[in-house]
Amino acid sequence: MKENFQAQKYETKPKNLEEIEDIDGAIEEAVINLQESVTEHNDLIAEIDFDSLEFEKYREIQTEYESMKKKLNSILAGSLITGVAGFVSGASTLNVVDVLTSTYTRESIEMGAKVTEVGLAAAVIIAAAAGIGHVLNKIRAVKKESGRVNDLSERPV
Amino acid sequence: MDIEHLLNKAQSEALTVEEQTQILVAIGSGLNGLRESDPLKFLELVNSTNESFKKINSILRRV
Repeated sequence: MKENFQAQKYETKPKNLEEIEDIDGAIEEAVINLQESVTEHNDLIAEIDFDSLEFEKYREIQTEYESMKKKLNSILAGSLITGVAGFVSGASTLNVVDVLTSTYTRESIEMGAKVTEVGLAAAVIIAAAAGIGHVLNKIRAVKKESGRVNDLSERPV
Repeated sequence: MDIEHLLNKAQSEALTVEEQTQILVAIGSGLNGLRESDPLKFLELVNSTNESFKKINSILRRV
């Protein structure tokens, strides 16, 4: 049942997309835009000192990353089900982003995605997922070391 | 290629470089398969992912 939910999650197409004639060109442009966003994201992350973040910012960032991770995990697990590896019946129950980030470094994924046969668009999405996972791991590590709490309701007065 | 087995294994133990490559290729193949079978859906996924990154970047710029 869960597999079906994942596979059907993206079946609804926005009406404006149905009117696109040059779909390959549109995808190419979208991938370039995504690459630019991921590059900017990596630059911004390199500048941030997570240890000195204010609690509200820290919480806001973590919430957004968790949401992003959920979305990317759905995309990757869903692609395993609906794509070539459609036989992977249990993929939707697996956390693909966690698997990627626990198995690889972000650099190895970017390099591996480039040298394998995944194609640029897929490589960008995979690298993006790995990047999000790695930052989340970093946030969790800071939280653990500093004793910061995850829930605002637990915030010391 | 038993990707499900490799994904499960990756959560409990280290994979060889060859096994890591198999997972990358399987996920990439799935995404590429989606692009070929339903390019509009794929475009929506890329744009949606980009919008999420823009939102995160916006937050990070204010930090």
